[in-house]
Amino acid sequence: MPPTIDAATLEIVKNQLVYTATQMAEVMRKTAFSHIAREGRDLSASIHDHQGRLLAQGAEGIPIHLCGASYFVANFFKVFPPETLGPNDILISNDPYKGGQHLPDITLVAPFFHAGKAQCFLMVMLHHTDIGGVAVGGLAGDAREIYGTGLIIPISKLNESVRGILAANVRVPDDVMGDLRAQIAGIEFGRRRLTEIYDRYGASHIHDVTLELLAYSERRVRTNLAAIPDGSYTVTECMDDDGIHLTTPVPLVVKVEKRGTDVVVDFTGSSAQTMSLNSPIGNTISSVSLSLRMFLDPDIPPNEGCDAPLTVIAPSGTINNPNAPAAVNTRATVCHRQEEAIIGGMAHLMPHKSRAASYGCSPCLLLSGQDEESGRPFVLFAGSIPGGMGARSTVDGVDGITCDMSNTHYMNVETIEEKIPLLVERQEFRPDSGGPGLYRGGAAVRQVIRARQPMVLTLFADRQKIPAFGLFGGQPGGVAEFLLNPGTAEERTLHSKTTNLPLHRGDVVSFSAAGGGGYGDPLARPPEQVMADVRNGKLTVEGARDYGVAIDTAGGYDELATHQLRDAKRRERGPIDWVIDRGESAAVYTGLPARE
Amino acid sequence: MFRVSCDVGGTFTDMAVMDEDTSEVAVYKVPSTPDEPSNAFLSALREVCATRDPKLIRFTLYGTTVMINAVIMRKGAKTALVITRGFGDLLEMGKKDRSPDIYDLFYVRPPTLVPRSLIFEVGERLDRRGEIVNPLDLDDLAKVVNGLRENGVEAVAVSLLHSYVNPSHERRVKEMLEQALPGIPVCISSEVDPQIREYQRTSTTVMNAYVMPLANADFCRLQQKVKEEGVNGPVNIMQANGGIMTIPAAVQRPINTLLSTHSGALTLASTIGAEIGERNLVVIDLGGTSLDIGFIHDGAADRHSETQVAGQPVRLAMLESFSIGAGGGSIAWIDDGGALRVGPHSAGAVPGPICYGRGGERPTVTDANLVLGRLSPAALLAGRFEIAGGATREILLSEIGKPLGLTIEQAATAILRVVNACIVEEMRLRFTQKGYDPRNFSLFVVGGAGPLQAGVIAQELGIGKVIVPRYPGIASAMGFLFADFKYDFAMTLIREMRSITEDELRNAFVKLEAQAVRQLENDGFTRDRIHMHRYLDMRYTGQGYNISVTLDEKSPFDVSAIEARFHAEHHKLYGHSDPDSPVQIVNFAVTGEGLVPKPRLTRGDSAGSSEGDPRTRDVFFEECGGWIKCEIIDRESLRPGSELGGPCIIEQMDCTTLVHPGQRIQVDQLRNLIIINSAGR
Repeated sequence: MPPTIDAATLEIVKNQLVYTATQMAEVMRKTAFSHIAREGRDLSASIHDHQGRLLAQGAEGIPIHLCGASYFVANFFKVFPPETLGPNDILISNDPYKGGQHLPDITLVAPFFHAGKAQCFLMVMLHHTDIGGVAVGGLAGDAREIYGTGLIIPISKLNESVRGILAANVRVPDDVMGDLRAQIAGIEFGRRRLTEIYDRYGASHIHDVTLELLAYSERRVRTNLAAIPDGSYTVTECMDDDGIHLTTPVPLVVKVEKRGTDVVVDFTGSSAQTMSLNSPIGNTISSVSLSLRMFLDPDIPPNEGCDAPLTVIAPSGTINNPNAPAAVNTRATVCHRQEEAIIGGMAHLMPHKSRAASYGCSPCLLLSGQDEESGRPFVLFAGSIPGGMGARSTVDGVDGITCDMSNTHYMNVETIEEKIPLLVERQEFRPDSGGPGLYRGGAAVRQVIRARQPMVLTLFADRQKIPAFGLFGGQPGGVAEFLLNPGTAEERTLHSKTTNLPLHRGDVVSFSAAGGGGYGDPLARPPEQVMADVRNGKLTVEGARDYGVAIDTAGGYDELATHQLRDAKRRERGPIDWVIDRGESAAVYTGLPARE
Repeated sequence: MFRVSCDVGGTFTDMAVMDEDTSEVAVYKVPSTPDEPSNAFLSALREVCATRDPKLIRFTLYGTTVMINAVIMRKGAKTALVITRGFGDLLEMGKKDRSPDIYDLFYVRPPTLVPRSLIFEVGERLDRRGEIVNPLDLDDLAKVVNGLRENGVEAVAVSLLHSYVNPSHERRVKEMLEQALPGIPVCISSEVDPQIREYQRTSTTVMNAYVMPLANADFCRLQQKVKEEGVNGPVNIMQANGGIMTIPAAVQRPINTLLSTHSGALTLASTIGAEIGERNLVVIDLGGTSLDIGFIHDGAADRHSETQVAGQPVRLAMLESFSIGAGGGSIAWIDDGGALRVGPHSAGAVPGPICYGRGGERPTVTDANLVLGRLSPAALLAGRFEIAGGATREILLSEIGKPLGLTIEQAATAILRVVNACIVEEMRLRFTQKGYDPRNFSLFVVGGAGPLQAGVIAQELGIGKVIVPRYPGIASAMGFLFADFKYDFAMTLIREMRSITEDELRNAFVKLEAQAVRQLENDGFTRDRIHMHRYLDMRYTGQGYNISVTLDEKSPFDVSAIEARFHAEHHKLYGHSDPDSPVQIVNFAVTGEGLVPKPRLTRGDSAGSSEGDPRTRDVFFEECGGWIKCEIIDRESLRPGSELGGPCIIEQMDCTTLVHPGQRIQVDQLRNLIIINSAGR
């Protein structure tokens, strides 16, 4: 620690910077117009230095936003070097090929001036309700290039022209411009608060403190990493398809090598970039970083120092680092799979601190149309109907929960129905969707809606063909299921990437994401827990057979019969000598081994 | 006549008695009896009655944590939930985010109050207008009745979709269940919380049912026992909204009593604030393990309408309070990156700080204060404990000082700087969330550990004035003495401001007001002692968040005035408003107040200064460069009008007030201590 900094001041300034970013996010949330920003809290704020390095970020926020911002900010400075900026300048972009996330995530970067000099930079990112393009919300799953998916804002100074272009290209300009104003309010708050902090401690002192903060976080991350056994592992995960070539799986390969206190994450061997399903490099870095965070002390202040021990290799022109003009609007699926592969693969290094795969995407449902009664247009972004979390090495996967990169809140059915002319008929856990295991994978949520007037549906999801893998004998979770008019003569399965499907009055759609994979031998799960799952609607009586539990007619289980059934199943299966279980159907579809 | 108030806390049960004629207050503190909380209450009451005629007690006020502990420990009634078909998993799936533990690989959802096996679905469905899509399925209901019987449930919650618009299905269910299961309480969501958003409404209704049998037993037993002590006056119950309710009302809505403790301090602050002309107060209650922050704005405590209890959302009118884990017992430690940290772990009451000598081995904020001479070994807990001063110094030096290369004084100072900064940043965040400027506020501080830290906290926030009331250690019980009866009623009714008329507005309120008036008349209030507050939750059409707008007392239903208020409020809170955008009403709400005659606060004799020879003690002040002889004053000796310059320390039974160099302290007519920051306003 430099001698000028004392322990108390370091801790205090650290807190002040984190709280400044937290308050910026709070100001944004409070002033935002759109549902997704205010209730979904899909926004974040952070503070960076002249090289774009992350100094501090808000305490709450969307994980995927928070981990990759520095790469984006550094690219802003390539276009507008910090020394060319004035105290009131605000820069704007959403360009995924410069480090942005996907097009709806508009990012502002603004210098903070003190004593006539730019001392640091404020970043705010907010997921906007719409960004133009063929599908509402910029979420067309079958896009062939980025151009159809919405307006690209190159790294620019935010001025009247940029505002005008933005307002003219979105379906709900009031929401978008209102949310943009909220972002500016966040920046203005940050500037005011930083002025007080810099007045108090002085710029050079704070500069020293921030350097020490980066070193401090790095020290702590390395201490944590040292506790993970050295070694390396490779996991191959596949996505169902890219939304265009509907029968071609898209492989994602990740090799993680951990030596001492350093980690190298290498995506070499993954699929070449596709037209539509890609994670821009900013997202990929972000995913890796937040996956590893799951194995570190959550109390380490997130800043650039945390990433110092980490090297990410993602060859250009692949799904993990695509080039223009590939579409990236549905990058969430790739990110989820990167995370699940890295986290799941940890089973090789730390069998007792790992998790099977989860539902593998952020299933999105968008509905739009014109309300027949009020005549007003409506757009509903029913973000993320959650699937099941993978089972962990000590506990079941959580049923119906957001995972990893996303953390959105529940949307009340009454609020949805109040805005949109539809009826949510059911919303329930889908039995047997969690992968069997000593610890069961989380069950998926099934939502069934009925359109009360014509409207248009866009769906974006995955794991309809390739389920969440299980670990150490735990079996894969159930695959996703999307049905139009189920149980009728017109029943048909919808593809996980469906864009602009017209719904007629009375049409019923049933959505269910995938369940989580199981962990450990299902035949070792205490029968009482299996029975409880049956009682609680997480398992059917049929499903209980996967656990070798013989249920009697009275609704209890037969101890002797269960013992025999389990013995027979165990003999048939043989010893568990694999780590990952992808399931037979996935093996057939992808050509990868079912178990390895 | 006397009035008695009691606040049952985890460690101590506080009691305050006010003589209505002289407004003299006496205070009592006895150890709590967690196994049977009313025992501590009764032993305190006996102490009170030892010198007073129990027949002269007009009424007793009871604030309890029994209900909230039952929720936290999951020890409430065996409760069932009846819900619309297709939504039986709502309570679980409603919490689909992982906040605040988003990076926890082993995250587990907090358990719901009703197991899935006691959730029963019934066929029925209403739409957003309350029109019947599917009629109530009576066969289903018959099956539910059997299920409830077979399982021996003790309470039932009923929550059906869109019942806030049309309660007819819920009412029918209630009728049938009450008939079939006499003696089992049935709570329906359209009565408990008739507002949109099924997850919050259902959770609130469930929690109400969950504590209902317990509340019934606890309150009725208490009333009985108090009677046995010879007290004829009724026992009334404190609520989270800062008001009082009768036992019959509390038994119906026990959820209102869940978060009542914080409301006492806020009621005390607003009462004293009104007397001394302080209309904007930030109120902090700093105890051993936690800090509660609340606001009095423009004379009234800020309210809010939703919170979480033990991981479950609860929607009810309450005085707003934010809690964080920082207090006198917060532990200082060096983390694996070599940084000095304070909290969030606390030594709690047991083992407590090292200096209590009860087995505490980790240095705490209280220990740092002792080491710096700010807490007197003799004054600490009125000498009830042998102070382990030697061990405190030793451990603080070896655990914090040595690793950081600091002297013991520097280490203790660093601990206090860090904990104060944590508190200050948390308060700053709350100011930001509220849209308030700290420079327009005074700091009202209570809690045993509060007055030691408050001077510095105020300085950091740019607050000019700190108010330390007469008995900071029993603020809740003191506050209860000044509460009125208060009943809140709210309902969702979504209406466009553009098309609503004055008459429609008035009619919508009539129903709510009638409920409040009926309740207060039952309690014995005549119309002239009933006061009505009206609120609307409003938003720009299409927005997701509501703003609560208080209607004008004189012309409440003036549509354009209401709209103007909304725009102004929106601008105040969010920094922008859009007078051209259409505005919607979402919820209607009223608070019916039954006004209780209040004693005047005691005004002491003016003039005179501290009596006796001033004592001094060596106290360490970083800003003075080290140890200085600091004046120590007994609070009992201070008379209204006294004024002193800092640094000095004012000691009383369970609390120490620290005045820093550069600050002044005055004693006002109500014998509050007022710390003045010259650097402030």
